[in-house]
Amino acid sequence: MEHVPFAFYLVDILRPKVFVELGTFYGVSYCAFCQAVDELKLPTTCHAVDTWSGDAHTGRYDISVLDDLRRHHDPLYSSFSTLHQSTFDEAVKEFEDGTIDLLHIDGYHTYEAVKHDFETWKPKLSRWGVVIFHDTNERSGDFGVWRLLEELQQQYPCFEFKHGHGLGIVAIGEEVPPGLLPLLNASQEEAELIREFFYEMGQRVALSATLIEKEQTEQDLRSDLRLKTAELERIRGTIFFRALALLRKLFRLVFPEQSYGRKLINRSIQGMTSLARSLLRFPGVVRNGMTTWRQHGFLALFRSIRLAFARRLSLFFYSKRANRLKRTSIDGRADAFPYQPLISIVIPTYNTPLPYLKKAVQSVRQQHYKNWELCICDDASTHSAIKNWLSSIEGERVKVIFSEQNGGISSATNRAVRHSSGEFIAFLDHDDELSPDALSEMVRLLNQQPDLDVIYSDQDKINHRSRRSEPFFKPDWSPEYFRSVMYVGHLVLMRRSLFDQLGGLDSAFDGVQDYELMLRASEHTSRIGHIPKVLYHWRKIPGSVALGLNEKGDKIQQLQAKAVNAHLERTKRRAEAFPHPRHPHRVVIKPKPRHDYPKISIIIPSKNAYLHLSRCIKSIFERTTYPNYEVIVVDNGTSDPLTLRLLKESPVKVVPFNQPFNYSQANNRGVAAAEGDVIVLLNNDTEVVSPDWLEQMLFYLDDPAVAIVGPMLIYPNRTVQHAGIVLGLRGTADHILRGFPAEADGYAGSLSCPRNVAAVTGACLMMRREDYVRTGGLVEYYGTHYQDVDLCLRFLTAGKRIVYVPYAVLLHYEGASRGREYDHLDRALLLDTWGDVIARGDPYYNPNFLLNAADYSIG
Amino acid sequence: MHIVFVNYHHLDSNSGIHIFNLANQLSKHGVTCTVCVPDHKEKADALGIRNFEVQTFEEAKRILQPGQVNLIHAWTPRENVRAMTESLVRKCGAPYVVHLEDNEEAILESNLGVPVEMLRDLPEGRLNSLIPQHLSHPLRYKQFLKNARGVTMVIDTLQVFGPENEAKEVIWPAYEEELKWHRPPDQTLRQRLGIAPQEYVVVYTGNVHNANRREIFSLYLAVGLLNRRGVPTKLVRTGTDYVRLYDKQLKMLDQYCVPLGHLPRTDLPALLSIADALVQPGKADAFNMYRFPSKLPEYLASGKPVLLPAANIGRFLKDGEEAILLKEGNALEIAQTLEALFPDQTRRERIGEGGRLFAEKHLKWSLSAEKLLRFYEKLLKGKS
Repeated sequence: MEHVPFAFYLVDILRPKVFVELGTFYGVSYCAFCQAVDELKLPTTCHAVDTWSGDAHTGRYDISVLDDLRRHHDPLYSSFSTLHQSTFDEAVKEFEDGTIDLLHIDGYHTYEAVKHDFETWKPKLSRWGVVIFHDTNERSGDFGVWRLLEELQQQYPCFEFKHGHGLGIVAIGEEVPPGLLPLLNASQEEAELIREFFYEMGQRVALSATLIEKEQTEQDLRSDLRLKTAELERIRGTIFFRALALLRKLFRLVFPEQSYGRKLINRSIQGMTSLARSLLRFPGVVRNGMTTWRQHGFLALFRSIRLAFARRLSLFFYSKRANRLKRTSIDGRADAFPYQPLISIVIPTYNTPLPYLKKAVQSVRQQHYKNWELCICDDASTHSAIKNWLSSIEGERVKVIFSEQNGGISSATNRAVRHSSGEFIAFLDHDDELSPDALSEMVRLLNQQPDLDVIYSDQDKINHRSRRSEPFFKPDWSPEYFRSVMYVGHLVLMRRSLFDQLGGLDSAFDGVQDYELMLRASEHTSRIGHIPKVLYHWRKIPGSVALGLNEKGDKIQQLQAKAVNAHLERTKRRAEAFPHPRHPHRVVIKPKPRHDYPKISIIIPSKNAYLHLSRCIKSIFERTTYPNYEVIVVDNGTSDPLTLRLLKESPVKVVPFNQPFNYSQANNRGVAAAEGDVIVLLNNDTEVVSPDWLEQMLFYLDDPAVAIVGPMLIYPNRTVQHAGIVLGLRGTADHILRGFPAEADGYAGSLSCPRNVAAVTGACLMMRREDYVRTGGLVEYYGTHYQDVDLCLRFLTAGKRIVYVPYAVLLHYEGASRGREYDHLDRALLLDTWGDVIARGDPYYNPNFLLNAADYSIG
Repeated sequence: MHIVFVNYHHLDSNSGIHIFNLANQLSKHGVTCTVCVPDHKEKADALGIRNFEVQTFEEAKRILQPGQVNLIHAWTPRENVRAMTESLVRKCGAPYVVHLEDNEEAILESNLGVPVEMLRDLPEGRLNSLIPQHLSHPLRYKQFLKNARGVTMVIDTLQVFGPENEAKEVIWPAYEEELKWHRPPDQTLRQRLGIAPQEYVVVYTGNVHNANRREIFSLYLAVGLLNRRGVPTKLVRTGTDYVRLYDKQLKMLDQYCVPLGHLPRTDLPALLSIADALVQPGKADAFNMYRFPSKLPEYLASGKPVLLPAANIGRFLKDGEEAILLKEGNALEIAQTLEALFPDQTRRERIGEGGRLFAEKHLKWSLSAEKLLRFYEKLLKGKS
C-alpha cells in the first residue's frame, strides 16, 4: 500500500508497452498499476503471474484469493490485463525476448529465488527495461532481495525507497528511460527529498485506509447495536433479568452515587467501552474501503481516504483549538452598536438533566451583548429539582413559566415567546449552549443589515463535559438546499413580528418544529442572514440527533418530508417530498407531471467526434422522457463521413459554424437558432443517464428567482465530475468533490441534495432563453475556460440563484473534445472581471473551508 | 505677491509639471514664485524655460526670511511636505494652503497593504515608524488640513477630505499649449516602431505602480484579447514599471506591447498622434473617484478618442461625444469598446474632436492659473 503513489508515478513517466508482475497475491500493487494504465489511457498490456497458492513467506492460501481478485479485476482491466495462474518459470515462455518494459518482481524473497527470477526474466526486458523489486528493506530470516539489489547497484543505475518493506528500481536496459533520469541522477539531497515525498504519500494512503476502515466498522457496530438493543428489550422481560435488577439495587446501596468505589468502577467501564468502540470499528471500515475501490477504482478510494484523513486531522485540531480557547474572549465593542434591540431567548424545558440546563442558562448570562431577556417555559417536568431550580433563577431578566400539562416542545416554546417582549426571538435548546459572542455577532450583523428578519450561524457539538468537536460550517441562505436538509440548525434569531405572522411553531411537527417554522418563514422573507462563525454548541447526548442521525428514528424523517410537502403545496410547487432512501435526514424532491411542457432547445457544439456525438444524441433521444424538445448541433466544420451521416440521419437541427472554434460563439449561434423558451447547453462528450433529467432541472427553473440549473455529471467509473462550482478554488473557481463516489452524501448532503451554488459547468446547464439573450450569452473573449463561470456570476451578482440538481445525472467524458491545455488568458480575464467577487468569497462555501482543497477541508 | 510651492518630489514628476506650469503662468501676472523640492532641483531645467526660483528644502529653510513670503502652497499633505511647510510657516510666519490631488488614504492602503482604519488603531510610535516620508500620515494629515488657510484640489470630489468650513478651490490640471498636441499622425514614427499597416494602435503614457497596477494590467489584457479575437492591436507604452504587471504565464502579452520607457515630454505629442484610441483604464472606485490623471488633458487635446472611467473628469465629459466613459473599466469592457470603435473611423474622429474642443475650453494652464490667482487674492484679502 505504501508504494502505490510511486507505482502511479512510475507508470506515468515510463509509459510501458508491456508490464509484468511476478507475485501478485491479493493484487494491491498490480491493480494499482492497472488503474494507472487505465486512468492514463495508455496502450499498455499488463500481465500478473502467480500460482495463487502462497509460499513460505506469504503462507499458504486457497483459490478464493484469486477469485476475489478476478471479481475486482476482470470488469475493470481485462481488456488490457491478463492474470496468468502459473509458476514464473512456466510463464516466462509466453513472452518474447526484449519485449517487457517494466517488470515487478515480488515472488519468493530468498536471495536465490529472487536472483533466479531476475536472471530468468532478464532476457525478456526491452532496451529501456526497468525492474522493480519489492521487500528490499526486509532483512529478517532468509529474505535476500536486499542482497541482490546491492549487487545490481554495482552494474546498473538504481534508486531505492526504504519505507514500507523497501522498493528498489533498477534500469536494466541498454538505455535509461528519459523519465527516470531525474530519479536516478538525483543528488543525495534530492534523493532524500524524493524518498521523503513518496514516504509521506505512502503514509497518507496507509493511514487514511485505516481511518476509513475504522469508520466502516463503527457503522456496522451501530447496526449490530440496534439489533442487540431489541434483543435486550426481550431479555429485560425474563426472570433472570429481574433477578439481576435486584442485584443492581443492592450494588447501588453498597456503592452510592458519589462514592469513590462507584466512580472508580464507572471510569473503568467508560475506558473499556471507548477502547472497545475503537476496536470494533475496524472491520467495517475495511469493507467500505474495498467497496469503494471495486466500484469506483483506486483514485476514488485514494480521494476518500485522503478526505477522511484530512477531515479527521482537521477536526482533531479544531477540537484542540476550540477547547483551548475556551470562552475567555471579551467583545468590548458589544455595547457600542447604535442599534441594540431587545432579544428574547426562549428555552422550552422538560425533565432536562439539571447540569445541562444550568450550563445553557449560564451561557446566556455570559453573553457580551447585554440587552437580552431569558424566557423559559417548563413543559410540566416531573423532576421536582428542575422546577425548584427554575423558580430560584426567576428575576428581572429571567422569566419562567410552568405548564400544568405537558404540551410538547412547540407548545412550550410558543408559551415562552408569548411571555417575552423582545423585538427578536432567539431559540435555544434546553441542553445546548451559546458562545459568549453569539448575540453580539447577531446584533453586529443587524447593525450592518437592519432589514434582516432571520439570522443563523455555524455550530459545533459538545459532549457531556462541554468539550467541543464536529463543527458544521454552513452556506449562506440556500432555499433549495434547505428544502432537502435542515442545515440552519437550532440557533435562529427571528424578528418577532415574523414569528407572530407565522403563528408560531406547529405542534403537529414536534421533532422537526424548527425546520417546519423556517420553511414557513422562507415563504415570507428572503432577508435571511448567516454568520460564518460557530456561535452555538449542540450537545450530543443519547436521544439527540447531535449524537447520531438515527437517534430519533424514522418518524423524524417522515415528519421532515411531511413538512416539505406542506411547504411545496403552500408555494404551489408541483413536486413530492420523501425521505432519501440512502442518507438519513435528507429529503428527496420529485417533480410531479407538469401542466405545461415548454419547448427546450438542447444546444451541442461539435466537430467530427463521431463516437462522442453519436453516444450523446442517442442517449438524448432514447432516454429522455420530457416530451417537447429539439436538439441543435452547432457544426464547426465536420468533415468525417460517419459524423456527417449521423447529422443527416438524426432528428437534429444543424447550425453551420465555419469559423475557428470558439466555444462561446458556437453556443451563441446555437441559441440564436433555438426555438425553445428554455435552453440547455450541452457538451458533445456527455451521455444522458437520468431519463427525467430535463424535468428535474426544469422544476428548479420554474422558480423565477432561479436563473441557471446544472446537473450532476459523473465519470464513467461513477465518480463525481461536476457537483457545482466553488469560487476561489485554485484562485479562480473549480468543481467541488471531483472524483468522489457519486452515491456519497458529500458534506452534509452537498452531493446527494439539490443546493445553491455560485456557478455550474457549461458542459450541461439549463436556463431561460430570454435571460441568455438579454445578457448577451457567453462572452466570446473567453477561449477555452470560465465562460460558464462568467455567465453564472452575472446572474449571481444580480441576485439570482443557481442550483445544482443531483437527481439529473449525465455521464461526462471530460476533456475529450477540448483537450487539457490550461488557458492563462482566460484565467486572467475571469480574475480581471470578477476578481473582487471571487475575493469576497463564495456565499455557498463557508470561509472556514480551505480553498486549496476542493473537498470541504478545514484548516 | 510671493508664493512658495512645496512639492514632495522632483519637478519632472506629474505634480511637479503642474507646479511648473502654474508658477510660470502666475509669474505672467506679476506673482513671484519659489518652488521647494526635497532634492535634485536641477531636474526643473528639463521642463523648459521657467520664470521662478527653485530651491531644495534645506536651501529654502536657510534663504527664506520672515516677511518675504505671502503664502505657502503645500503640494499634497504628504509627510515631507507637511514637515517642510510647518517649518517654513514657523520661520516666515506666512499662512499655507494645501493642494489635494489624490485619495491619500487609498494610496496609503495600497502602498502599505493595510487598511487605514487598522493603521489609526496602532500606537502612535508604531504608526509613525510605518509611514514613509512620501505618503500621508493617517492622523497628522487631517490636522494639517484643518490648520490650513484653504485647500485646492484637482477634482471636486476631494472636498470630502478637507475641513468643512475651509476655503476651497478646484484647479484642474491642463495641457501645455506650446507642445501642439493636436497634429496629423506621424507615419514615420509608426513605421519606426514596427507597427504593421493593418494594426490598430492604443497609446498609454505613464508609470505603473501599486495603485494603478491592476487597471494597467486590464489594458494589457484587453489588447491580448483583441489580438486573440483577430483584431490586430498594439499597445505603445511610455513610462516605468515600478511593479511587475503579470507573471510568466502571461508572457504572450509581451508581443502586443511596444515599450518605450521614459520619453521627454516633447516627444509625447508625436506618439499620441499615431494612436487610434487612447485609454485611461480603471473604474469609478475610491482610487479613481478622487484623482485627475495628468495625462487626460493631453489625451483630450490630441483629438484622439479617449476611453476613461466614468469618474473624476469623466463626470464632466459627454459620453459618446467628447469621450467614451467606461463603467467597469475592466479588460472585457475595454476590449469590447475598442472592437466596436476601431473600424468606425467617423466615430473615432467625431469623439476625438469633441474631446479636443472640451480641452481647449477648460483644460489650459492659463485658465487654471487665473483661477488659482483669484483664490490666493481672496485668501490674502481675508487675512488683512
